[in-house]
Amino acid sequence: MRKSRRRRPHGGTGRRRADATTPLCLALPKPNRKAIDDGHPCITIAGQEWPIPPLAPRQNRHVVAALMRMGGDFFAHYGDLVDAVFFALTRAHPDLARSEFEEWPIPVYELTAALPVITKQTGWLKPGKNSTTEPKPPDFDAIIAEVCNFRLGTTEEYWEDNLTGARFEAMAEEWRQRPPLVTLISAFLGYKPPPTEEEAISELFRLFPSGKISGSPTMH
Amino acid sequence: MLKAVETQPFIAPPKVTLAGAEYEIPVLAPKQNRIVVPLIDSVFPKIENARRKSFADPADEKKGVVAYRWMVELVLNGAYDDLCAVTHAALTRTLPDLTRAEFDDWAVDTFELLAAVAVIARQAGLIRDVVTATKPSA
Repeated sequence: MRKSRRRRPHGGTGRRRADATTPLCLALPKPNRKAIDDGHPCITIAGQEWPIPPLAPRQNRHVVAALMRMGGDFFAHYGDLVDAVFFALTRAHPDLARSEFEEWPIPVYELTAALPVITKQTGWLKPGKNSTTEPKPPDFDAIIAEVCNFRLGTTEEYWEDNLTGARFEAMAEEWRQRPPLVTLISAFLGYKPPPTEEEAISELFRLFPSGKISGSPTMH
Repeated sequence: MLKAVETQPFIAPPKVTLAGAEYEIPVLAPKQNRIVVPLIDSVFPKIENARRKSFADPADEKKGVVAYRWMVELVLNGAYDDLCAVTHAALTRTLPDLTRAEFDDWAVDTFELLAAVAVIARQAGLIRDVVTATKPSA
């Protein structure tokens, strides 16, 4: 039977050099075998394959924001590149310590090669969606609040680890076809939420763009 | 039939020569790359600018002042500091206790720094070598 040998963190096959010093002697933790067997896509980091299951808000809060900040400039945003990969790894390896990860021998090309898989696994960043406005990361607190409102009995903490992009899309589609009772009752009663403080102020500025109350307001 | 080699051959990390001594530069970790990558990204254009300015007048080449002028340009445009920062950060991979103040006291030749940065860029993963594994002799 073919035995595959994994590369050690110092880039060799396990033979330790006589002059090897502290940071090079770290052993990598084992990748999550169950996640690999479940067929999740893998990325190669420090010469070893790591599974990346669909990410939950706990990871996406960091990963999506880092990917958006980075744009296409990996070198100037190296910190964001490392953030995105580290937090993506914590989905299947929650015990992975940041201080430990910082010592792994990771060439830049491994990090950049991992990005397409990580981007796909966020579930929130779709390629080809070109918008004229500057993209903003999703408001995960608001999304979780919405789901909790419609799925009574569930907690924010539960969805923090279980609300993947695909699952939310499926729920949104279900609610579109068969709206939850609370939505139907709101529509029946003609309920409209009161404006937020921000909305009220922006409406005032829209009506009085010069900032002066004298004169007639601008109506659109 | 011979099978392809399944294991990665042990490759000793490349060495750089600084102040006349050799130092190994293994594959760098994010801890070092956080400093190395953005600086290398910005230092190469600076080195190229300094070189272009220094070699602008072919007459100077005969007088032997080009190398001197290049050094001056590197210091003036900040490339020298960047080179030192990159090299120091890379050295901390194997010498974690090496302080910048200590490193600044080393008698490092500027050309040693320039040569070291090429190795460091490779070990940071900015340049990828295609390694063709060969079957080790028995």
